[in-house]
Amino acid sequence: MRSRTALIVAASVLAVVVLSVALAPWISPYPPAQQSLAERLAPASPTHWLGTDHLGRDTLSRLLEGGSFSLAVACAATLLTAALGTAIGVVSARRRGWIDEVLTRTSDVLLALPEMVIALFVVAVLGAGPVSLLLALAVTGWTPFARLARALAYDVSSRGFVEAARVLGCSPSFVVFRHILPHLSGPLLGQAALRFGQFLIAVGALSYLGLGVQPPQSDWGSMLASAQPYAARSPLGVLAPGLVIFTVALCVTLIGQHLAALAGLRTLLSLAPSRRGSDV
Amino acid sequence: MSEGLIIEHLHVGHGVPPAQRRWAWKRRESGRGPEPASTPLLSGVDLTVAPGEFVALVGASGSGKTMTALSVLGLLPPHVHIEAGSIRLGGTDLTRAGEAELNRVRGGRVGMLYQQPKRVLNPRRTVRSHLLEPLALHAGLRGKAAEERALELLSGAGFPDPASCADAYPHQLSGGMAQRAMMALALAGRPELLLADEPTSALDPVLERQVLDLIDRQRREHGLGVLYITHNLATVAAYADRVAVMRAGRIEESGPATAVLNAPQTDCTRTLREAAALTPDAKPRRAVDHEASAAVVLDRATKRFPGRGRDARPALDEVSLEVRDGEILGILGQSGSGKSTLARLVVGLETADAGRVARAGDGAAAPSRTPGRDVQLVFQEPHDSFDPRMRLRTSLEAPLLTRGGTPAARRKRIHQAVKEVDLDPTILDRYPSQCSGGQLQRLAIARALLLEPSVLICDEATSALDAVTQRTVLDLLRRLHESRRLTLILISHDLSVIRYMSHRVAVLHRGELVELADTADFFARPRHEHSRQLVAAALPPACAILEDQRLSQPNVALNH
Repeated sequence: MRSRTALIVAASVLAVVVLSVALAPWISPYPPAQQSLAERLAPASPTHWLGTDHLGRDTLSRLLEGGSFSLAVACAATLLTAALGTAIGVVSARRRGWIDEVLTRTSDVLLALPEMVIALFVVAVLGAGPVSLLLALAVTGWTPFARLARALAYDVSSRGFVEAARVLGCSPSFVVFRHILPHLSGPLLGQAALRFGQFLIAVGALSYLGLGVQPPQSDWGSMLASAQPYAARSPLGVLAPGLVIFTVALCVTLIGQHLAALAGLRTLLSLAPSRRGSDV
Repeated sequence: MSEGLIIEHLHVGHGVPPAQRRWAWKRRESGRGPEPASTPLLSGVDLTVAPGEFVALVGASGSGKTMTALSVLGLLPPHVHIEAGSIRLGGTDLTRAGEAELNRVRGGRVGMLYQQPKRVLNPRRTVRSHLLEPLALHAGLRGKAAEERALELLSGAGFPDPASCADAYPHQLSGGMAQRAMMALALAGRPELLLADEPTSALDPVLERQVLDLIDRQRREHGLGVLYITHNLATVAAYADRVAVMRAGRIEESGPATAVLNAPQTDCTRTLREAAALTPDAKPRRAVDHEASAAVVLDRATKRFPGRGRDARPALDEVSLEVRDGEILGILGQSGSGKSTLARLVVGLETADAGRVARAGDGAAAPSRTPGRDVQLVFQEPHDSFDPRMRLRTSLEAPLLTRGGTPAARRKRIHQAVKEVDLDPTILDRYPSQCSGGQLQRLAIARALLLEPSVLICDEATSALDAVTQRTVLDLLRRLHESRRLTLILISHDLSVIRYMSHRVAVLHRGELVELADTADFFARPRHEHSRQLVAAALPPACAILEDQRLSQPNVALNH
């Protein structure tokens, strides 16, 4: 049961990170924007656990502050794209015909374009900031959800109980919200966790390019960017945010894979009617 | 040297604590509610199949028939293990065999036939490519030799033109053809034993006879031992040398087929036999009023599905039919004959491309496009017609939600409906996976009747059920027909069901209505050639041997 151990470790690490980021205003040792030019690029020490950056700001405090931005944007992007994608996918599957054709082709086109380039373009047009970052990620981010939701909704729609609901005169909203969406929830949850990790990295990358938050506010990507010129003198300044991004993305992905596997198993079981016994 | 299959004292059970049993895979279960956790799946099964012997294994769903077959192949589901006993095949102990040895057995020394061949065949591969695999693996044939042997097997399986069949993909085969192709596949490894798990229960009598005759011929010609799993006693009486009756994981009774069926020693066998005795003497009690108005009228109704198969034959071709108010109309036909399309047209799930479908409840205006409350449909697969994630109460309440009424009134109506189908309302708090097929099918009927329809269509509603459960559902339908003056349209490929239930019979063949006659007339003097074949192929019911011991009142008070 190695995967189970991995799941528990990943979940606890993630919980610790999220909790400390949430509690940052109370637990961070220094105000994150407080400069102290005398202590520039200090190594790790009892006073500065992770050292300081090129303006003498405490790295740990800035990591804690920056986390809230990165995690919030990634989280919001995941929720937004999941909701949008699911809605589009379910509409495609239920309406079929030309609506399905248009929506599916659109998502195919968006999938063919490099995500990062589109995001860069959107941020460049709208200007930097959390909202434009969110939009940049959402423009292409909904497509995997839409494809998954469409395929699953197609499958569920052909099941006997959906036909039965039609014959019995149930309303379309009952069919969608009570029959179809519950069957989609598992796989979509797994997909959402996988995407969250990717969004976190994307937010880091865009911030690294200077398209995220504006100074003096910190976030993991921009910390990485500003520490890079001094990497030789103070490697911790680069390593710390890099490792945090890596760890959180890894944890969420692991959890996501686990959820997806679980949901996949359940979907397979529920899609094979003749193999279902009355086993309790 | 070969001594056939010998199973001794086989015990099979779950090797995991009952809490984890949710995931345990069981094909079908009798569903007497949640069972005690310690129940073994098989306890002390003894069974032998000598070379050239045709042994039938019968029993209700969930009695362990399939589990026995899977144990032979070493294909038990995860968490299910052989706990004791031995399975020997021609001297090899299969319970001790390693995976490599078992792989030589599967498809090699033991061939397998399944209930639904199309689920077993890979839709992306031709019959030929399916055949070449076991020929290479088990017979060591490759290239031209394998090709020739494949064609030989197919012609042996009754394909007049084996080459064209070899090039076909599974979807291009009919149900009967697919089962015969499976037969060729099962014989490719020159097996000593054939395991046939309900190979004919989805087929009409003509095809059933074809497949069973084919098995029987192979048995005689090649000394093939056959273990035939079924709940159809008529075929057992006609083909099997010996029969073993299973119940709850035990062999209750076994012996020569005629002896066991003629003079059953256990209640279990008696129950099975009585359930199978759908004797036509008990006619539908209420005579149909020939002057009655029409409940459903089809006037040259035609339905075409775009791009289906090789031929552009319509699924339903100018079918004109009138269903009288209060009658039971049986519709016979093979799979693909348009029976289900007819049902879907009548209920309103599809609209006719040409012609007219009118229901008595329709307004004078254009026929309603929404599926109507006046005609309801019960589907074939009970486990599929309820949402597995919904409590049954919610599933039954759903159709009432749009019809107004207070929650208390809805609750009362649902409870009434459930009682009407002889179930306890506490079942409503369960999930579908916690119920048996028979229970769910009765709930499906209750759900359909909640809307007070005047016409109920049962699309193969009992073909997924075992004989005993089928009998209870059929008797329930008859009672509802009486008490509610319900018009019933029964769709089936099973002649005995139609004969037992209906006033009139309609026969569909390749989308056309080829015959419509009173039931007695139809069975005495079928007019169309296809009908004649159907009637001629029907086996006498297993109890026909027993005319003198006429069964009095069928006892179907089972603990459901």
